[in-house]
Amino acid sequence: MKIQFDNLMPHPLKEIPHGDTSIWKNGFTVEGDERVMLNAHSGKGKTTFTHIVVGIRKDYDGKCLINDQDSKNFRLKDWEKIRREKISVVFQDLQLFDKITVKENLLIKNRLTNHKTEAEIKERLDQFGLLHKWETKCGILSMGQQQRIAIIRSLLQPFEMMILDEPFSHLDKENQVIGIKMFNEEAEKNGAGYILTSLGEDHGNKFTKTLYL
Amino acid sequence: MLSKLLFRNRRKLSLYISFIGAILGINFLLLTTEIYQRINHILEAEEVLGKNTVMIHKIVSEQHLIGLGSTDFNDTEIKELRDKGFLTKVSPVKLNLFSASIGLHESMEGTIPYFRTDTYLNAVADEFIDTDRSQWHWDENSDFVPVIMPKVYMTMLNHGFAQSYGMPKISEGIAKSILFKIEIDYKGKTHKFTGRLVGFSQSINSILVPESFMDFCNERYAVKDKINPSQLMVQFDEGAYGQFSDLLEEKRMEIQKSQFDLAKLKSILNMVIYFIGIEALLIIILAINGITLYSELVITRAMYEIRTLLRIGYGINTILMKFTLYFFLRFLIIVVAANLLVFPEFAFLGPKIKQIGMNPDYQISELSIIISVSILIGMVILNYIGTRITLVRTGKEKS
Repeated sequence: MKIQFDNLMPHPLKEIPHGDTSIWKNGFTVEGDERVMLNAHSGKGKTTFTHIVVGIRKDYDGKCLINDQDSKNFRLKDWEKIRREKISVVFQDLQLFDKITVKENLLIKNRLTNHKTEAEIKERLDQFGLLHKWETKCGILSMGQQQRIAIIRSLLQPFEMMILDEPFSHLDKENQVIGIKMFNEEAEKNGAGYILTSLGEDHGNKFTKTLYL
Repeated sequence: MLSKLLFRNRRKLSLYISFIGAILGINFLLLTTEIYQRINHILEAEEVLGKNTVMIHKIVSEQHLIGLGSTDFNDTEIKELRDKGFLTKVSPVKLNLFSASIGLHESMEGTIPYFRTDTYLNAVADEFIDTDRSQWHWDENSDFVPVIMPKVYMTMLNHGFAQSYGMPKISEGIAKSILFKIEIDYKGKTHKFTGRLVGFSQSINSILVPESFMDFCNERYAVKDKINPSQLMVQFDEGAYGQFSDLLEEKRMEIQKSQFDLAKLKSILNMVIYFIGIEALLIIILAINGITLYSELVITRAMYEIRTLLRIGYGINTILMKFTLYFFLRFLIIVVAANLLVFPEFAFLGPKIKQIGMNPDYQISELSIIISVSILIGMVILNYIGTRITLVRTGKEKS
């Protein structure tokens, strides 16, 4: 998959000064199995970036090209397919369902794609030390636990690119390492790349490219 | 699992209130429909001449006796009536212009007393014949002429003339088996036809022969110039009783009182049913509005879940189908409950319904089924469209 920003400037960020290396000024291209870190301070538009790539925001000038096609021309049907099969996301605000259990949160995604077995899902949970939370409602988990659930959910689909919006913001070093390992394994399995937004920390990972906002 | 997620936030009280409103609204319409059908059935059974069909004539007054005015309808007057928008049919009652007599057929001599009399004959368009029309046919090759006699003649014969003269009474069946000859004298020659009664009319007080026979004989054997008809068969629009009544008064015409009362009753009933129908529809609109608000509330309360499902790859149609099925099942319950409620209502109203001669038994009628299915389809479609619009709007995430 190829993701490209061509003179793209989100309307809310127009008035904010951007550095010479900012993708808001220079654009960027990410493709194939590249593992990219997108560095930025708070308020520079990391979440805006994520939302633009997955078609949630359209309030920008310029073009966001996905496989050389202007994503503003995509219909809802196209986005459904992209979100189900092409681009997987860990949202910064996690986007979990508080009132249902961990199991339901994960199966609701997996039933859409049939990408993993229940045993595989439980294995991932176990790696994060959360297997005992299988029947627990997400709403009563800590932020760190919820973030790990969101990470696992993002892996329950085929993808060509992952957009990871500060996926480790509530995790300790140990869990960050487990998380990075999971992303790398799944990216390799899918022959995919990912873009991980960060406040500057590389989480001990080797990225093939670093971009800035 | 998806249903659990989407409908977890529904408010049961709102649901029950909108349910009860919708059930009562639809039930009111169904009950009205059922009672209307029964009343209409009774009235239509009374309408021997057909729907809103009456025989009119001018009121004979002293002015006519001294030669002022005429009791006939001339061509201009008939055209004027035909031009009235609310009169759907105007057809003259035709008179014989030929000299006709009726007498006992030779083959019947010795079986019943001989009779012969000069007579007048009338004909109306076949569609106005109010008895069995299976034998009501005549063409130029036919020697047999079917005849219809007013029922009141039989009553007068049996309970007046026969009783007074000590003669045996004649049943309708026997009367129909008696053959008689119809003789038409024209230029010194007598043309004979064989006649037999084929029915008795409750509403046309004339001896009727088929219109084709009347036209044939009037054309061939007329001994008089054309005579304008003094009676007309007319049919008026449903609910146009008021206009028709005004017309009768204006033109100084009249109809049989029983026909007049029936038409009046039907017009009043139609008006009452019309208003009740409008009332029921308003209630249904309010009830459907309540249901729509409820469904909007369900969707609004599930907005986060819908948005998130769409963001993680669920399709609009998958979610739409969940909502459509959810509401379809509930709308189905509403419509079925509204129908079932008519049974106890009929059980409660039964004695009163029976008192006024209506059928107190209730079986869901075809019309009720059509109304129920239409309402169900209407609610599902409205809901489907509303939900789809909301989902698409949510999916587009306009920012």
